[in-house]
Order: sequence, then C-alpha cells, then structure tokens
Amino acid sequence: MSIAKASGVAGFPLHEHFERPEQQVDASKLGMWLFLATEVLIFGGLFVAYAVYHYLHPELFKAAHKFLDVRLGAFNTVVLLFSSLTVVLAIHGAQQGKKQMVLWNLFLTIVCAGTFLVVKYFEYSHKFHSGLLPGYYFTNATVPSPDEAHIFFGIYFLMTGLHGIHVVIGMIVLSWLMFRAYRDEFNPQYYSPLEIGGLYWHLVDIIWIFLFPLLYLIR
Amino acid sequence: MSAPGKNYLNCKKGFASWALTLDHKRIGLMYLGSIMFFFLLGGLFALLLRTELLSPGHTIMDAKRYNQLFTLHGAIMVFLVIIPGIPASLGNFALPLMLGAKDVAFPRLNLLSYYIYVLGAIVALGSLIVGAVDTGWTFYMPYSSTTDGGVVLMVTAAFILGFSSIFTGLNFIVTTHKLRAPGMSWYRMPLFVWGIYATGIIQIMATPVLAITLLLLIVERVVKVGIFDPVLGGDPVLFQHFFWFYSHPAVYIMILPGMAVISELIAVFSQKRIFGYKPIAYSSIALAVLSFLVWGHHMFVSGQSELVGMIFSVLTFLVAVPSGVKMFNWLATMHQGSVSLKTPMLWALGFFVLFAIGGITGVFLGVLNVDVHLHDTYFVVAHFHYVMVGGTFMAFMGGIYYWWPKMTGKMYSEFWGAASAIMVVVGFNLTFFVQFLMGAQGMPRRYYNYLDQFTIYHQISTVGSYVLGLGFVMALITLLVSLKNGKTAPKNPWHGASLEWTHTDAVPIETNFREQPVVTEGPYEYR
Amino acid sequence: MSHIHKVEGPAPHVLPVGVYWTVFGALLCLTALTVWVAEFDFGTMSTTVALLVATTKASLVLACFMHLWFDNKFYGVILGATFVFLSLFILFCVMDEGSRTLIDPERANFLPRDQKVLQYKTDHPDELALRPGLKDPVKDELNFEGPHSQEE
Repeated sequence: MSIAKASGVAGFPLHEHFERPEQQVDASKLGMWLFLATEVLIFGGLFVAYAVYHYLHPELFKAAHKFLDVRLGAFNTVVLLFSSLTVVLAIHGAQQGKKQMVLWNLFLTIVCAGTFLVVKYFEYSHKFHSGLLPGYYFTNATVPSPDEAHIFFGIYFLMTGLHGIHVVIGMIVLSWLMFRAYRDEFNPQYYSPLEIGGLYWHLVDIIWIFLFPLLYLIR
Repeated sequence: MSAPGKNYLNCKKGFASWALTLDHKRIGLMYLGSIMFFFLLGGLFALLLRTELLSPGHTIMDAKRYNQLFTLHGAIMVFLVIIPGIPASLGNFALPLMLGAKDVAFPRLNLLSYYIYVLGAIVALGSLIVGAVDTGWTFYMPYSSTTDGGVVLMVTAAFILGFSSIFTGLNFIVTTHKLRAPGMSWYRMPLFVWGIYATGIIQIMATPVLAITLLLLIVERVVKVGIFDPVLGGDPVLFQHFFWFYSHPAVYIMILPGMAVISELIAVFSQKRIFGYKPIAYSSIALAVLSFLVWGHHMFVSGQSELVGMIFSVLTFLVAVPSGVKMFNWLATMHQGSVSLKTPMLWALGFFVLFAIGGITGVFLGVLNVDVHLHDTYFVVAHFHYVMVGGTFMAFMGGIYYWWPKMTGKMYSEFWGAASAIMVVVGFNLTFFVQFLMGAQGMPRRYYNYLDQFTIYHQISTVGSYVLGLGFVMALITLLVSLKNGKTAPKNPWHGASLEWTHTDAVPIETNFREQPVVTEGPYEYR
Repeated sequence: MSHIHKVEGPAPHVLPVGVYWTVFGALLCLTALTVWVAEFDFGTMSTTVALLVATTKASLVLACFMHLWFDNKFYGVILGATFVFLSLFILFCVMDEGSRTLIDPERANFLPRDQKVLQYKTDHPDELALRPGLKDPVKDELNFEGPHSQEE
C-alpha cells in the first residue's frame, strides 16, 4: 500500500487531543455504533407497539396489510439495497484514492434515496386519497373491522414516517460528504467520515429490511 | 503548552471564550451553573408546595395551580437537574482528568449537548407561557392527551433534553474506551469512571425509548393515533410500559453517578485503598443491566397482568444485591482507615444514612402485595426523595465540595460547609421521614387537600423543608463566598491519589497535563 | 482544543469489489425469497419465517457492508446488547397483554378488549362519539375503495 506524502491535502488530520490516527478513527467509529444503538432503540419502541397490536389483533393486521402495495414495497427494498451497495463502493473508491468513483457512487446513493421518497410519496397519497389515515382521521369503510383498523395504519404511518425522516437526514449527510469529497478532503489514509456516514445509511437500509416484511408481507 | 501561572480559567477571557469553548472543564462548569440555577428554581417550587400543604384546603394557591406546580417541580428536578446533574457537570470536569486525557473524545459534540440542554430548558420554561402542565412529570395517558396547557411543549422539552443526555453518555463511553493514558488499564481507573461509564450505558440504551415514547405521546395528542388512547382502541397501560422502560433505568442514571462520587470520597477521606474495587466496579455495571429488567414495579396496580407483576417483583429484589455490595464495601473501606470528617466526607456520610433508608424502603415497595397498599401514597414520595435527594444530591454536593479546589483554585470555609451539610441532613429527615408515616397511614400523593388527622405530619414536613432549603442555600453561598474570599487551594488538598490531584497544577491548564501522565498503579494507593 | 495537524494515517483495509457485488446479489435473492415465501401460509410461523429472512439480510449488511466482521468485536457487543434489551422490552409488553386475564378474567381492564368494546358499543349505540372514522360528521365522506393489487 503506497502511503501518500503527509503534506498538502493528503494525510490524516489529527485532532490535538488524540495521540494516534487509529485512535481517532476508532473513537469516531465507536461513537457512531453507539449512536446506531440509540437509533435501533428509537425504532424499537415502534416495533414494540407493532408486536403488541399484532398480537392483539392478528386477523386485523392480516386484512389491513392488503391495502399496501407489495410491488412498490419490494421495489423500494431493492432501491435501498442498491443504495447500500453504492455507499460501500464510494468508500472503496476513497480507499483507493479514486475521486470520481467516490463522487459518482455518492451521487447514485442520493438518487436512490430520492427515488425511495418519490415512491413513498405515491404510496402515501394513495392512502390519503382512500381515507386510510391514522387514528381519528381514518375514514375507509371497506377495511374489515374499521373500529380497530386505524391502529394498523397509525403504526404504518409512524414506522414509515420515522424511517422517511431518517432517509431525508441521510440525504443531507450524503450531500455533505459529497461536498467534502469534491473538495478533496478524503484520501486513502483518511476517509472515516465516509465510513461513518455509510454506517448511518446502512442502518436506514436495515430498518427498512425489517419494515418491509412486517408491514407488507403479513400472513 | 501553557506558560506558568496560566490555567484553564484565565488562559482566555471574554464571553465568547466561554460560550464557544470546547474545553471539557469549562463546559462542566457551565453545566454546573445551569443545573444549580434550575435546582434553586425547582426547590423554590417545592417550598411553595410545602407551604400550600401547611393546612388542609386552600392555603396559598388553588388546586389547579398546585397540580401545575408539582408537575413543574418534578419535571425540572428530573429532566433538568438530577439526570444531567453529576455526569454532565462533575463527570465532564473530572472524567478526562482522571483518565489522563486531554479532553473528551468529541469536544464539539460535548458543547452541542450543552446547548441542546439549554434549548430544552428554554422550551420547558416556554410551556409556562402556553399554560402550565398539570399531568405530573410522568405524563400518563390518557390524561395527558386530554388536559389543556402546554403538554406538547413540555414533552418536546423532555425529548430535546434526552438527546443532550444521550450525547453526554456517548462521549463518556468513547472517552473511557479510547482516551485512557498509557498504563491506565480498566482496573486502574478510578471507580468514579466506572460509575459514569455504567451511567453512559443506560443513557445510550434507555433514553432513545423516552424519545420515541414522547414522540408517540405528541402524535397521540395531535393526530389521535390510538396506540395509547383507550377511546381509540389503544392501551394506556402500554404507555406506562414505554414510559418506565426509560424512566426506571433513568433512576439509575440519577443514582449511579452519586454512588460513583461516594466511592471516591470514602476512599480519599479514609486514606485507605478502597475495599473490594472489582465488586464495586462490577456492581455498577450489574445495576445498569438490572435497571432494564424491573420497570414493571412502577405498574403493580395499573392493570398490568399479575403474572408480569410477580416477575417484576422478584427481579426488583435483585437490585438490592449490587446496592448492598456497594454499601458494605464502602463501610469496609472506612474500617480502620484514618477517617477525616472534612465537608465532602460529611455529605458522603449523610448519603450513607439517607440512601440506606431510601434503599430499604424501596425493597418494601418492590413487594407486590405491600405495594398495593403503599402505591401512590406519601410513602413512595418519601422513598424516592430519600434516594434522589438523600442519595444523589448529597453525593452531588459532596462531589462539588470535593472537586471545588480543583475547579476554582479556592478553598471554602470548612465551618460553613460542615454546618450546611448537617443542616441539610437534619432538614431532610424532618421533611421526609414523617412522610413515611403518613404514607403508611394512607395519605395519597399529589393531593391538594388532606384529612385533618394528617395536619401535624404535614406541618412538621413543611417546617423541615424550610430547614432543608436553607441548608442547600447556605451550602451554595459558602461556595460562592469562597470564590471571593477563599484561600488559594494547594495542588492536592485531600491527598488524593488519582491523576486529577497528582498530575495537574492546582488549577489545571487548558490541555490538562503539562506532560502526558503514565500510570503505574491503581488510583487508591495513598501514602 | 481543536487544533488539527496533518500526520500519516493508517493503511485502509480494502476488500475486493467482487465481495460487495456478491453480497448485493445475495440480498436481492433473499428479497425475492421473502416475497415468494409470503405467498404460503405457515400459520403462526409466518412472521417467524419473515423475520428470519430479514435477520439474515440484516446480518449480511452488518457483516460485510458495515465491516462488522473485520472490525472491533466490541461493536458487535453493543449491537447484541441493543437487541437483548429490545427483545426484553417486546417480551414483557406482549407477555403483559397476553396474561391479563390469566388469574382474574373479571378484573381485566382491557382484555379481552374486542369482546368488551363490542359489548359496550352494542349496549350504548349513541356513545363513543370519538369512535374513529365513524363519527357522525365524517360518515358522509366514508371511502369505499377496497384493497388494491392482490386478489385472493
């Protein structure tokens, strides 16, 4: 592995309170993993709500999920999986000092995130249109046992909504990383912001990996 | 490297040098100031509440105002004082020093979490403009979704403050893992660090659940989703599960740092190596883990199933084990040590007495059938005040008095420090011990009015609260006076053996150590 | 305290690109599998099967994309602790909901909810004005669009 000269833009920007570059990288990664743990637990609350109400009303969940479009859900799953791949490829590019590879892959990731949100917009607008709204605003009369069905849609909107917010935050983070990559801040010795942003984006993907079968594929 | 005579307090001047500082010591002091401000505010509310209870019926306020005041007292004391309390102020100041680090791992995140705290505090106070909340600090559904007032704002404030807590905990865990000085192995870390580390685990693992709970509460109130609201098919008991999944561990966010401080105080002021280092260290971790398994003991009479109630009751007894391990190890440390009754030690001894009472009454409450009688009475109020104030806050004051010379370079008046510590202990017992008695006789908590037979208890309690309040104010004034008139502190006034005493200047320089300390022995090797 | 100076950094840990594409391919296959499996009725096991596939996918992402397999194992401990606490949370809540009628069915406040709510609604047809979706002002706006896509 060729090490770039520690001068000019290349090299590792070490903060004063760290002794070694590895220490700084490890600290930021550990911090990110701890933060991911908090993210998992934030969604965890919604998974608890899901588990409890699925347990209480299994028939209802089975009936209500048919109002969600499996094809759109599956499409979005593939989009997010692909975006996870492009993030990894961007990091790979940074490891080898290929700036164009970093920029293009980050760009593709942001496009995927945008696509995901557009599809989500169509799904949401269809539900708004047919009155499949949470709680008090639920007005669809064709769902079996409409007295309770709003709970499923409440949980659906909460889970996908919170996930959607994370996608938007992810897009902001990725754009910022792209900006930094454009300014040549990353090199084969220093790319930990990309790794950390990538960890966040993968988590968003993982959450969706669980949401998809739980919401769209109930039997 | 700093010139001689320069330290972290005088190396830079001006408002911006404080407001934008990345120095963990300055951030710690900023936290300390803010927390003390809210402590005084919350304490003022407590005194107003006690004054109202001097006589049955209307004394100085009406019932609605009373409900709002006890909510404010609870919310401020919990979210703005005790939860950030020791970790954010003393932890920020002392933890990197004790580890031999130049700063915490993420200094900017540290400053950010301070401003998140400030923002949360502003939003919390902002809820007063919309209309004070009267739900109690627990925001139980379905009342919190139907009552008027600024519930959404107050809940948002708690939500924001949660993130401040998460970032603080995250910072400390990473600092402990990655920034220890050469030679500082895990078992050479002071027990204070172990306690703060265990607290960090809870802050990371429990606080997010508070965030989602409060988010759901806001959604429930605004959009009426029906997850917690029984009218819409939801389950209000589920809200209590959500709430206590955070808020029981949060109790340990409050008490673990207190225990951490006490471990330091007991060892230093006995000048004896701490007895049972590893049991104390691991009991902190054990408490952190156990704290996630017992939340249902807050819900014995809520409509939770009896089966789950029994399981939670049994698990609750387990908590007494690590707490007991700590108490006995501290006692054994003092045994045959050269105990000096300096002011910090007096606070620590006060902690011993009060926390023992608070802890043991906790076991009473953990017993399923006893709790049916005692639930929601003043017995519970007395119990958690013994733990939170008698435990955590005594330790907090002890810690402030212990590190004050290092923070400010000034020595305070031993006489006034000791006098205020004694006054607090006396006032505290006067206020809260009678509450055990009236609670056991059935006086319900959070009631504006009461039967005539409880009048004498309430009056004793109110008088006690004035003594208690005076004691705390005296303690703070003693510290403030020392800033002006105090003698210059020596480098190591208590003959401590951890790095913050042995390897820094009397007041540390901005980068903490003039040269990187290398650790060769444990933190309790006194000579 | 934020002075930064440039030093020589560590050498990166590089995996061949082929690994990432292979994992991506596996993830696509598993997605297809989970959709396909959902067509069959495994009774109560269906959710378990769906979660198993999802967990496998998540593990792939974690191990390879997130480098967990090659990185500090402590990150795995953090993740494991998270899932343990989350499982406990789910377990106790569901256990509570499921066992409220166990000892004293009459005492149960909320369960069996469906029967109780139904009974109450039959006895008091005019009450519960807040009943979602069916409250009077909205009755005229009720939507009769059924489920789309799958026909059974």
